[in-house]
Amino acid sequence: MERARVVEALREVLAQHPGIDVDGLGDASRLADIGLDSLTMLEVLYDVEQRFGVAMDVEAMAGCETAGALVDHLTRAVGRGGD
Amino acid sequence: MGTRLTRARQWLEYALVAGGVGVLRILPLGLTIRLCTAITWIVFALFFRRRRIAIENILAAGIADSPRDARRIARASFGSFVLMTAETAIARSRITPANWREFVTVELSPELERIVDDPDVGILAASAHLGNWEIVARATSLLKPVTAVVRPLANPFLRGWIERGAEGFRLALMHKHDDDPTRFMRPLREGRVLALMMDQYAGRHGVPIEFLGRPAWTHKSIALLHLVTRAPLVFAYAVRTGPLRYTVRAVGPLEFRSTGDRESDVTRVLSALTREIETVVRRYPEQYMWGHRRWRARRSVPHE
Repeated sequence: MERARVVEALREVLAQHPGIDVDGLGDASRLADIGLDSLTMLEVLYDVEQRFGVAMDVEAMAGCETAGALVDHLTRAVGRGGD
Repeated sequence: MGTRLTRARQWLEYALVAGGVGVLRILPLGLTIRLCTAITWIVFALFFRRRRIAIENILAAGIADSPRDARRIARASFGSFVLMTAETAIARSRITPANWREFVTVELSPELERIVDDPDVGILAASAHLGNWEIVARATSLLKPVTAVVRPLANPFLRGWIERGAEGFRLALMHKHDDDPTRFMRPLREGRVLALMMDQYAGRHGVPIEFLGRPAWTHKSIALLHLVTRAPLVFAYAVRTGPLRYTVRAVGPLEFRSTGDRESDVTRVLSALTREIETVVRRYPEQYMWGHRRWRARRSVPHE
């Protein structure tokens, strides 16, 4: 899946969680700044894994400080069929 | 002026606690335990609201057959908490990385021992307010580094004192409220044990899980962490077996896989962990902290 489609799908997942500012989302957006707390982050990761049918590893998740990093990890994981 | 007064009060609190601990450290252990018995009677008499909550909780859980029996268990529960506080303070100076096995026995399954010995594998550990939860974190940290998620104290002097108490152990404290959403992942990535207390009232952040016959609002984080990271999940606790003697046990590893239904998966994981807590609470009811409002009703929140 190309990166643009991952971004689009991630926006759809994030939009389902109240309190997240999806409109202002960009690659450089820090996840903490768009309204993601640790619990919502876990819910989003669960939804993302289900949506893309991939399993991200802890290394990748721990490095996801920005929306761009999360998209990059997902794009790679989807390309490989899992991280 | 208000800030100065607050600082003065905080320092006074710290001085009282640190002074009290200093006295406990020089007293013979037998005398400390007798002192704790006396303090328990005073605390049980004075904290009547907590006493009433404890007795009600014990009766509602079906742990005691009569109010008289519930009162006896409640008093023992208060005593267990007083002893835990005193022994944890004493343990700071007496239990060291060199001699801890004289005081603490660890019982793990062979499978869990293998996981503990693997430095690359992080472990998710759920615990509860039973026995001595400070000791379980300290003892475990000598087998594998531990990051314990805690609610930070408002008093900065006491907070610093508590954090300094972890020195010498491979124990790090992580504040429960933090604005970094990925912070729970890091200890797991580093092959540490991430320890969370799961028998705390979760309010609007939780889901209702049947606990000792009644729904209790339970935090979802540990279940989601397991489902997302697939880190081995255990329920760990330490029961007091004698003066300054404890047995640490861990149930697991438990394993659950995502099905695509997030809320159902979370409930499944939390229910299984809660069943483990129930088993231990029924076995050691005197060592469980009954005085907290675990089953309080959730306030209605608009738009939920």
